[in-house]
Amino acid sequence: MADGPEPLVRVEGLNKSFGAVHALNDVSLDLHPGEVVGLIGANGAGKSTLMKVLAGEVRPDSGRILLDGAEVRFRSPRDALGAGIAMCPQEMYLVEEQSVADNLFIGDLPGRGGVVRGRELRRNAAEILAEVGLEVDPLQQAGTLTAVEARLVSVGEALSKHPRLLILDEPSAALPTEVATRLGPLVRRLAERGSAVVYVSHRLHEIREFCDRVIAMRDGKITGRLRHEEATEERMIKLVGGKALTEEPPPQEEAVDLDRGVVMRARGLCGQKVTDVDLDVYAGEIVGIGGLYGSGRSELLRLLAGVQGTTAGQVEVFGKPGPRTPNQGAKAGVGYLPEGRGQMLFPQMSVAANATISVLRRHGRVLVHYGRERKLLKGIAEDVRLVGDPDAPIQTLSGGNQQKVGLARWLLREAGVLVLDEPTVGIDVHARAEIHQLLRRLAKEKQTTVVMASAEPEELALLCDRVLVMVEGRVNRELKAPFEADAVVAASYVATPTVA
Amino acid sequence: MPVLDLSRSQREFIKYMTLIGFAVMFGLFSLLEPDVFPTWRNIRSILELSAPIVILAVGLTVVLVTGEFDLSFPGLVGLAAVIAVKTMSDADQPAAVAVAAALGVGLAGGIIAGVLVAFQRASSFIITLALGSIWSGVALGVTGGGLTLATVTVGYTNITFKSVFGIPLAVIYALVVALALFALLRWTIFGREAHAIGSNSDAARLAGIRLGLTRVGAFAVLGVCVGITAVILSSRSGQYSPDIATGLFIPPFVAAFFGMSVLAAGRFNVFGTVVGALFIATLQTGLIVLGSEAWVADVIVGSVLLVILFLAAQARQKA
Repeated sequence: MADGPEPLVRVEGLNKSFGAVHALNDVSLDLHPGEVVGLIGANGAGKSTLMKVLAGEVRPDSGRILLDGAEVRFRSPRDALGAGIAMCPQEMYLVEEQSVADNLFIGDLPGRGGVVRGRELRRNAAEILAEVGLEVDPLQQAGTLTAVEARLVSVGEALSKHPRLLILDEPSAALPTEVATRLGPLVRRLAERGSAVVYVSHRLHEIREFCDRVIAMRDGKITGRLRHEEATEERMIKLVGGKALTEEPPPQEEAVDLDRGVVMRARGLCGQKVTDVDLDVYAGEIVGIGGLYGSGRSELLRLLAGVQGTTAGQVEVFGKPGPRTPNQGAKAGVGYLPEGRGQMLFPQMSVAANATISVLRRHGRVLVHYGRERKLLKGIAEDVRLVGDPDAPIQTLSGGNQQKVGLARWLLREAGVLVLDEPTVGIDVHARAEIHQLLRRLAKEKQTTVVMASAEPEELALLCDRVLVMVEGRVNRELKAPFEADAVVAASYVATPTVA
Repeated sequence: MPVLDLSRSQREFIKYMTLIGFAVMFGLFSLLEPDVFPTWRNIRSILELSAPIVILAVGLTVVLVTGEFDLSFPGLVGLAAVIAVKTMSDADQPAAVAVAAALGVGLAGGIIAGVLVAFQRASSFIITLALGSIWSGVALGVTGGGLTLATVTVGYTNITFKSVFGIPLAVIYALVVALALFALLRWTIFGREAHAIGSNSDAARLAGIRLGLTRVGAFAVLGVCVGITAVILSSRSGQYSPDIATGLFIPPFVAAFFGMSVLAAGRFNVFGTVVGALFIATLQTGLIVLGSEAWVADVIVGSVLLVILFLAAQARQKA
């Protein structure tokens, strides 16, 4: 493995345990200047831990890191930065009250005698923003950025250190496809200047396009190393999950029977961005909401679920006026899950408590009915394919399993309508396939209605009976299955002129 | 692997360190003052001293569990005590009415705090700081500028005067309150939802939990605890004096934060809080028995809190 030139970074025999979890198990690898290395693996495979060790955030239990052939021991991210290793973490932290420029150079502001040199800062910031292809004013407050812009700023923050090794930990997870593709040329330019880049992603096509070689991890071990030409999606899936699992689109003859009635109806629905949306959703239907970031996808879901107040228009659910709070929504049979796990789960609580929180009042007025809780949980765990100890803290679960716990919460409540924002964001391919299967089964067998938003046209094409594609807060086009993912992409950009 | 063994023994130590510390402290005082400290008489007085702190601290724990803060309870203790004594001295009412008045004032004060916190959505820190100032001001005003009121009925002093099987009644009240709130947080839906709100209030809202109602409930529980404390303090001293709540501000917080580290719970819990309150009372009593001045106890209690917070942060990093 060690032929060729001296590696920039060599990792030897790293081990790291968190409690009983062996997050890194004897991991060794070399990173050379000028290469982009893709790192893949299911959630919980140890990718993030490995990257955090390299970036000085986590100290390994054993093993060595060599930089230019000499052993280094990082006691903090600052040490790693000093050695030229910068990481753009999965969860980003921008100081919302400060400007984009301040955020880009935070901890490293140009200045003299403690006074920041504003002009130099702005010039440097403009350079970095051009590098990441972001057209915002360097003096704009970071808090006013959209999620996509903020993500790119955090990539820029790592770039601003001019790192010899840049680690991007799932930079594209929150990015729509058309923005994510810009990251490819960016990392390539960096590599051409002699840096090494580690690119962590679940999106295998990005890995294929961007990376010179691929390292796959599973259960804390490296399970494979592929050269660019060997890295087919099939082989990569095999390495991260053990068995190749490709999803088949649902057979088309099982189209939804529209006679079953409208479950959710919106007329002239308006919010902050969302304007004048009409929508009828039928029982047992899976309706997708597509569109670019900032098109109003997520807001439409919040308005439908009663989580955000409408500014005009009506929502009806099961023939009654729609909910105005999440509490009313739960009572009306609407289960809403926000994007990602941050607003979904209770970190210090057990898996069981997380799953049953919305159903407790159904089974008791004052006391938590523990016996029934166990029984409910056992049933639902089979339904959503969740294995493991119900008393374990929720954080010990992988992202995919956490998402299943979120779904279990509304299944226990027997919600007739599931309103799901990005139900598979940041989840590995297997968990994603399982969640897709679950949603299909629910729609078919229990007539559960699903309204879901996704940034990935492929997911919408694979899963949905119908997709509304939004542009600038309005429904631009409605696509009925079967349709190609490209049709969603095409409909996401230009507003079709509406005929009055 | 020796590395793993070490961290396991470290974890075990962290789990029991506060209890070990408690035992060591007790042993130390007993060695230094063998005739005074390890006697039933002394232990009884420690328990009696800790009763008001225990009641306030477990009430405060319920509020802390929901992720909120309360700084108004010391002021409210004073106000509830004034009103209780006034119902007897000015209105000639019996002890039962005085008790009801104190509990009512506590409950009302708690609900006001809860409603303001729940629906203003400003920081509970600032809101309750303001309320605390209002309550102590009103208490001063009612007494005509800080006079001591000493007219209480015999029935009222009997509330704390007697003992059952040698255990002072105040201790029994504290035990009952602690058990009730332990059960409230552990076994009720309210308790589960309170933990959920404290853990992630956005997620709690989206899961359909009614945040406002639960928050008001938590502050109301603390309010009732405040009322009970006011009764115990004014009954025991047979009067209301403006300094009635002195020394009751910091200890409940110390007890609650101490409680996070008991058995490495990592979160606020009633059992830990009770241990924390007893720890503080033992420390204070021990120092008095040794003849140290009152300020020494303040310095030591504050230092203990800092050490606990530091060790808890370490434990979280290791876990």
